[in-house]
Amino acid sequence: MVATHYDKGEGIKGDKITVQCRDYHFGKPIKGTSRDKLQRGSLEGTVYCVIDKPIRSLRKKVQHID
Amino acid sequence: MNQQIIMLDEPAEDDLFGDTTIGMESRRQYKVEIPAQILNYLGQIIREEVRSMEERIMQRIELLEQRIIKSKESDANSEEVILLRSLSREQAKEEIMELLDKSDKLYYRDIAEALRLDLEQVVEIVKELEAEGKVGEAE
Repeated sequence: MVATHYDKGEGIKGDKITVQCRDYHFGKPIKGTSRDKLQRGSLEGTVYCVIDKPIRSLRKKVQHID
Repeated sequence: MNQQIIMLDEPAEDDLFGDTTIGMESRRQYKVEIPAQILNYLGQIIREEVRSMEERIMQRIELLEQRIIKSKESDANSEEVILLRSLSREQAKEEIMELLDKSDKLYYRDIAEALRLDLEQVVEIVKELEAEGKVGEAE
């Protein structure tokens, strides 16, 4: 089963989060403590987020040998 | 000789012509005689300057118009809408499996975009396929 969180105030953290929503707003870049710049924004309307990951097929590929 | 009224900082007292108010500031006006040649010359300089300003303004307007057109074009391109397909769960599962078979590794986002499917549906189906041992997390 896929664990989905609905409660307000809960956080989601990951290196790559894929989202689907009706609208989004992002502000100016923020200079954080690290060298990388950050950006803060909000997603609105029927938002769905998932911590993305690379997926591969485990089915054995059939090789045709002539 | 032509006679014009102009304002000077330090005029002679007998040249006083009258007072005038420009905005909130009250200024005194004095009579000054300016030769016609100089007046013509000044007129010519002013006309040339106005013509040059007009040209610069027209060029600037043209440039801004081009920028507006380009900006509208880029907005129109960025607003391209992808229509999601409505597939049965089994059909979507089959297409996801076929796509993963053909690729080395794909993210949820890649699958959703390639097959024009709802992201949540893709995540649920991939979790099912993981449970069935047909797909796994790539390095």
